[in-house]
Amino acid sequence: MAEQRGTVGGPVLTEWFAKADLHTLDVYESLGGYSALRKVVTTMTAQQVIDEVKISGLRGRGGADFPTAMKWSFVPKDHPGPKYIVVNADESEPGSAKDRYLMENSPHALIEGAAIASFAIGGHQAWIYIRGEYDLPYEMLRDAIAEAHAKGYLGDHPFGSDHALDVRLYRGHGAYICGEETALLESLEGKRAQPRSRPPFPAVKGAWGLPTAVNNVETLSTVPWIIRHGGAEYASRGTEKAKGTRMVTVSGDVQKPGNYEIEIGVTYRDIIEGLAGGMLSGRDLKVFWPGGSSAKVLPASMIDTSTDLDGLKALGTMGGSGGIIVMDDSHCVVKAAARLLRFYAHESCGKCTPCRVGGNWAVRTYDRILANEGSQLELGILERVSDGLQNGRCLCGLGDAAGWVIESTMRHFHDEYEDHCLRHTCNVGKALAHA
Amino acid sequence: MADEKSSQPEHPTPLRGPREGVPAKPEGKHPGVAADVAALAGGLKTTLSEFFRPVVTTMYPEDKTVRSERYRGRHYLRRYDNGLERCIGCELCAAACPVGCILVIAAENSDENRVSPGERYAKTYEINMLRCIFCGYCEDACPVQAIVLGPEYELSDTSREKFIYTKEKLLEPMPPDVEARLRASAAHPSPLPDGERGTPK
Amino acid sequence: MPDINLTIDGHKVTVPAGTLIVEAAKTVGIEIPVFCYHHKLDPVGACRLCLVDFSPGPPRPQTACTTPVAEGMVVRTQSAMAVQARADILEFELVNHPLDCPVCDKGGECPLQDFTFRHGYPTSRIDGPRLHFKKPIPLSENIALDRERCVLCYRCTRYYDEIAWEQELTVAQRGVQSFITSQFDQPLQSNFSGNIIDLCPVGALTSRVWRFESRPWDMTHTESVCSKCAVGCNTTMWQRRGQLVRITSRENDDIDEGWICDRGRFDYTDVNEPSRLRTPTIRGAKSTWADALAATAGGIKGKGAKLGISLPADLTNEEAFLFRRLLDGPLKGAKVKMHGRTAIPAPAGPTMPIKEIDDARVIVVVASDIENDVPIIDLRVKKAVSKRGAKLIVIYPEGVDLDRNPHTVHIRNAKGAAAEEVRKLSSHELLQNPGGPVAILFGDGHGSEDMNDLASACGALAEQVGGKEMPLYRATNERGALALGVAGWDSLDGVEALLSWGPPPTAGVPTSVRFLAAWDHLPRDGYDKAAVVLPATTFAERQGSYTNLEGTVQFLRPPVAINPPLKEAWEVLNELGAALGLELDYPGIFPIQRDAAAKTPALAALAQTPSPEPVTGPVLVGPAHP
Repeated sequence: MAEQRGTVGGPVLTEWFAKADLHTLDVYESLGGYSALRKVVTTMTAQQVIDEVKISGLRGRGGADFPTAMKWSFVPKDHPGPKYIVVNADESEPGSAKDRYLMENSPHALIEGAAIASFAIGGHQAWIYIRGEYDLPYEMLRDAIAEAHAKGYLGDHPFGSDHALDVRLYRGHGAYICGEETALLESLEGKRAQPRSRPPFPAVKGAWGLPTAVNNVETLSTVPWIIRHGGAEYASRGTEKAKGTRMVTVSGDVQKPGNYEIEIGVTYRDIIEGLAGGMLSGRDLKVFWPGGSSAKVLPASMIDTSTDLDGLKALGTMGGSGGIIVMDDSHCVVKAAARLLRFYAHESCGKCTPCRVGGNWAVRTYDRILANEGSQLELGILERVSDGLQNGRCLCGLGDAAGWVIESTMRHFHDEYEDHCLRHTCNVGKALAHA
Repeated sequence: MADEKSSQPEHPTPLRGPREGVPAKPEGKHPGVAADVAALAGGLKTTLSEFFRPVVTTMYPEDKTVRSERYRGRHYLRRYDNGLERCIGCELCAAACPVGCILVIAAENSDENRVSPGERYAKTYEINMLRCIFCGYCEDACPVQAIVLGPEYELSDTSREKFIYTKEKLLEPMPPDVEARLRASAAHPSPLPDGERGTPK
Repeated sequence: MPDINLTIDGHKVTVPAGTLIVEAAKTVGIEIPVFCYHHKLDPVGACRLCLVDFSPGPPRPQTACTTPVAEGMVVRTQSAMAVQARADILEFELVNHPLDCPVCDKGGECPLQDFTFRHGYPTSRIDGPRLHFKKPIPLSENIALDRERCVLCYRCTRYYDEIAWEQELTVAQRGVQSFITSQFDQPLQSNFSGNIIDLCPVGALTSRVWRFESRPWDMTHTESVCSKCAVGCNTTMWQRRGQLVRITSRENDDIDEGWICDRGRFDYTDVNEPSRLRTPTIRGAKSTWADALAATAGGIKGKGAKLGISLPADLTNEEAFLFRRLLDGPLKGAKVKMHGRTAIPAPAGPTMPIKEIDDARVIVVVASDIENDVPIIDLRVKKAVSKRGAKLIVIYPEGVDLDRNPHTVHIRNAKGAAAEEVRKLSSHELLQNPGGPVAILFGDGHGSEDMNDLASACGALAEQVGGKEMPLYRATNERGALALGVAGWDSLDGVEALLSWGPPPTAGVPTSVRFLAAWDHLPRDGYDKAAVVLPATTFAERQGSYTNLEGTVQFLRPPVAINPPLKEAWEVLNELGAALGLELDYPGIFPIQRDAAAKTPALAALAQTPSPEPVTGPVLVGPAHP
């Protein structure tokens, strides 16, 4: 189902994906795998690794777009005692399945990347916090780690050096919030997955109170390629501000949904109409989520938006976790928003007030609207709830994301909301019936 | 005479000096008998005309005046239709009372001893009617419309102790017309708040 | 710590570095509403109510309870952004709140009510159904939980984790369905559970003992001291219609830090007991005080060592002083036994103040079931360990709750051999280089230890490692009674006359007693055989002072007025003294205090009774108007 398409500068993450049995160490190594880790632990210093990644301009692919090298450099170098890399493989964002695709195809790339990252922050231990429902990736990673240990690529003396490196797997506890970095750390420690108040940031006080860098699967899977080919080569891809390539998951009413590696800077038209083969026959694009359900929606008129950071930021949205959800004109946006809000309310951890109560209040309001009991009051409540969820009112991004769903759908499709609330009709269905 | 009534000063009469303003005695002639009889007849006319006008005096206590339907007399504690007391013992009436004549001591309902719906009921409810000024604030403050001021005002009694109205006395059934009026007012709930965004203080 | 200058709503503020904005605002009387923040708990930033707007900083509201002050910071609590953010949060808090304020015990002293009035939207737009839970749920014999009212500030669970080291309270479910619950729905058993009632900012956790007793505005309150043990926690006692209806904690950072144990909080209902003794009786017949005291004097006069006296644990310094005078005069030679008295001798020199436990690097707890003997000291030790990184050594034959810290070194001694273990300690690795003060807390092992031996062993250890000692007395005023020499430890066996003040002697009234004068507040078994029964006052009706285990003199104030024919103990002792032929003619409590202060160096603090009124600053809400 999933397939990769050539990108302008050639694929990075999916470079070797056409090769059979890439998940075994032998195949992976025969193609050049683990040469990056060998190079790092035998010839480079931690600072050189960070510098190389800095040149590449690699940014976090989990959704926050934070420069990876900067995140690593925040981990205090002179801290006595353990420091950790934690790999966020708790991919739970609706519309996003890229990490699973990467782990199922090339688990060794992730392990190699995590080991390099551990080396870069001066740590010895990396944890992969993998989503509890991911059975196959879990087993593949488990076997891959065992292979790497058996070969001596992980352990006390990887490639003969004295810098011990280890990667361990931890299965997640089955909640969306576990993908939030501080909640993930709490969960990793065995507690209720609830976000922590920041500051202190994980780089200073993370897992078990020790300095920790939390990175996404895709980010770390890119690192070995950068070390092999050099940061400059990676930076030559993409745009000035957002360099490199990234994975996107296209889902919804398109001909060919799936995971694609794109060079950052292509437009959503290229992805939806090009890679994904366009809309299902006879339908028109109505709305799409550019970066997972947490990103603000864009209407069809904005399909020429670029996937780079600035283009999306200008529209108030983000590339997020790369999950592109495409909806055609047979769908009602209010119903879609209600469904998403139900998800966010269900997945709210309950720690901070706005998210705990606001999400649920919005769900109840949507229920009334969809039961044709809406009025101006309901519109006002939705506005207020979406206001109350955003802009630092919540402890973590989950609340903001729920607020963005309401705000962006109301902004672009206010007439549909008015149809539902004030006129108690849904014109989407009618339009189709006439067609 | 009607003229005299209308010519009454609007303000209190100013101080006068001795003999000031007293009409001078008519010179020479004294009034005759005819004038006296005329004056007497004039007075009788007034008396007789009043005699045939309708009576305005109410013969209290045999007869009683009509009171406003919102008249504030003695208090009643109400019950729900299922017999449970409305009062939840919240003491807000006592808090609102400007003269402090209400004493409430609350207790907890249990399944064995259920006095009111919910968790709390008034174990003791007393009103000192000698202190009460019948302002009706207790009725205003009550969140469950348990206490109302009824129409009775004849509350005299023979000892001070009897003016401490206990819960048993206050729970006596109230006149049916008052009950009907309260039910009618409860049939119109207050409207929902409008959609306007309130501004924080 | 260096001082930081900042501006809050136009007020210039100077506070030590590391202070949180919410605390800095308090110093100038500006209220930033909080639910989850509590100054004794670690900040968590969960309720989001303390949102303010400050620069330099991101252009969105930030929590004041997790942000430390910075030099030159400008904080605006009243900017449109911050005001609206707080109002939004308060509206969210009310979406599922049952609004049953009329029947809620918190109503009237509820931060949620106050904040909604001061910071919330003036109109409500919340309609439709609210979340419902079964309520009220008894969390224990003393505490009721109402999950509908809960705002999930996590103060209770955090208190249990951080302060009490208990694992009984937790949050179940997630999202809007989250609720507080006890582990496996078992009743709470901690001795410190009652503090969560004071901590709860809404009516979710309420006292079942005080349940529906009174609305807060109907009560008067009095600042007093707890009389249950020797720690002397500060309390506020609440009175309605002549009844003591509630006891809450009163923060005194030198002693209790705002916590009291469940015994201090809930154990007061005997004060309101209808069967309390009110009139003196002679052989079961009601009499006057004069007759009863004359009969008592006649029975105990001139008995010498044949007279036994049982004293309550909570007699005040003033009463002890009067007793001292009786024992020096007409009752000379009597055997005295004080309730709850430990075997610990009077301190030879200065002892360690309670608040210095905070700074200790190593804490040694010897021969004390500290959780039950001196509960609030137990919390202080836990704080020093978990928040300040002190090391802990426990010498006790049985498990204690301090063992819940995995790093606690617990040496299980044989009963009576604690002193031996203490002597071995000087070579313990933790005490080799403690890196700061060492606190040595020792009890008497409930009588199992040879106290002279143990005290000297602890003294020697203190000298070796540079530590300070803290004797853990148990009886409320044991230290004051020791200073006055009335804290007797004599056996009452064989006495012919017994003056039993307070509850009867623990071992029972000796069979040899021919004349029993009982002076107590409750009728008890055996009082029908007493020659004289005198009604006694309780801690709620008494004036006086206690000396706590660190030697601080604190004043007890009566929340409940005394109803004749009850008489205060000092008055009774005065008249008893007169009946025994001793010239005791103090006209009031103050002359006794002045006299006691002059004659007893340890009680010098009695000369100056402090003002009972606490000083509170005004609360400003809003910007400064220059």
